[in-house]
Amino acid sequence: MEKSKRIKLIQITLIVGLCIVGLSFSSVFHYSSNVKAEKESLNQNAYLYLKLERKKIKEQDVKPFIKIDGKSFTNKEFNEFQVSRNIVELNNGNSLLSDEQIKDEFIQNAVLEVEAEKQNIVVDESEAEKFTKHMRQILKQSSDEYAIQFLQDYLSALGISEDEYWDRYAVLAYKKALKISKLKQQFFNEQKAKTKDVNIDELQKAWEKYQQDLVKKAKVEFIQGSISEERK
Amino acid sequence: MKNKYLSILVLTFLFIVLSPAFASASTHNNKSHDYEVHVVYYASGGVLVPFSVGTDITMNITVSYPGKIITYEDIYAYIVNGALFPFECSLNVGTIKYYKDGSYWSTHSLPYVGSYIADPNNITGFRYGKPNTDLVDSSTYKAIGAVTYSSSSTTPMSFVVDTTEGVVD
Repeated sequence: MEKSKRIKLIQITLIVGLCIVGLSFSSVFHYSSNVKAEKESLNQNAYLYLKLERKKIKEQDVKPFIKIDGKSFTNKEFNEFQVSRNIVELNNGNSLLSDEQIKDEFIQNAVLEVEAEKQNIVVDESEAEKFTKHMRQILKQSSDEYAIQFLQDYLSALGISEDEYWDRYAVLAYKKALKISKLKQQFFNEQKAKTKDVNIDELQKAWEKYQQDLVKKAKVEFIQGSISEERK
Repeated sequence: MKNKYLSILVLTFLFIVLSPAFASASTHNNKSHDYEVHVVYYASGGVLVPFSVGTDITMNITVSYPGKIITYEDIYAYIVNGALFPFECSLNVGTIKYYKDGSYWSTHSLPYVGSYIADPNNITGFRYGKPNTDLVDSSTYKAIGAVTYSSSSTTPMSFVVDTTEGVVD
């Protein structure tokens, strides 16, 4: 009798123990899947927006949109920048930027690019390709899982392969970015030559002012009938 | 008798050799250094492209004896060629988290912005403080200094860069 009681007690203890272990596993699993969902949902907003807007861009007619110091930019170029810039905002948990904010940034970048060209600052294809390869290598060797996953998700939303991204899109994007970087470097060097003990904060302020002055001086013409609102 | 003289000589010699060391053991500077690379994405033209943000951090903690008192602490950090990125970014320096015998003990925020001679191509940050905090002699302490990268033009818009841990002794 006592023996059977003991066996029953052991059986009950085992069942209770198994239940506790099972519950802990399920709660851990539930918690981790919730965390994953929360992280993904943040990106999900950005990626859904990207997919939708890329589709609209593909379907729209390409027209001249803006002329900055004589250089023309199409509505497609503007809209692609708008979408990319907004992906940064959405992925950071912010709301979309207004059209005016995007226009200001687009104009500023274009003005800096035009100014770099005026000052004979050149970024040729091979230099941009070299930088692209370098960045691709850094990402390949990186242990930054967020950065690696971000690119995979981004490419899947764009609907392009990794090779296509690096060879076709990234080279062009780096060409633009490197022009601005080189202009900045030249500006810094000029300021350093002027002032012996250069202060980093003053230098940054001077760069801000320099950019604002260039934008003020630039001749910006919007071409009628090709604004981004057409896509809405 | 000979042995006695020899012992006295050895003891005198040891006293002469070691006494300056005892006298100068009033402060100890604990230095730690780290370099970390993070990747951020920036909108250029029609796509997002990655940029590597390499951050170099140095942390100094001076402890004074007797009493094991933290009399000075600083963090100096810079993003290598950060000023030449096509976007604006900044480094917010810094806090030091202390761990006593392996458990969290306290966080010190560094109150003073220091002056520094920096390469204008780098984005820099330097802060220091003089906390005069008592530690317990018999305990071991670790310190982890942190700086925060931020930029409204990149994703992620911010991340924390930790220094390697420094043992405070």
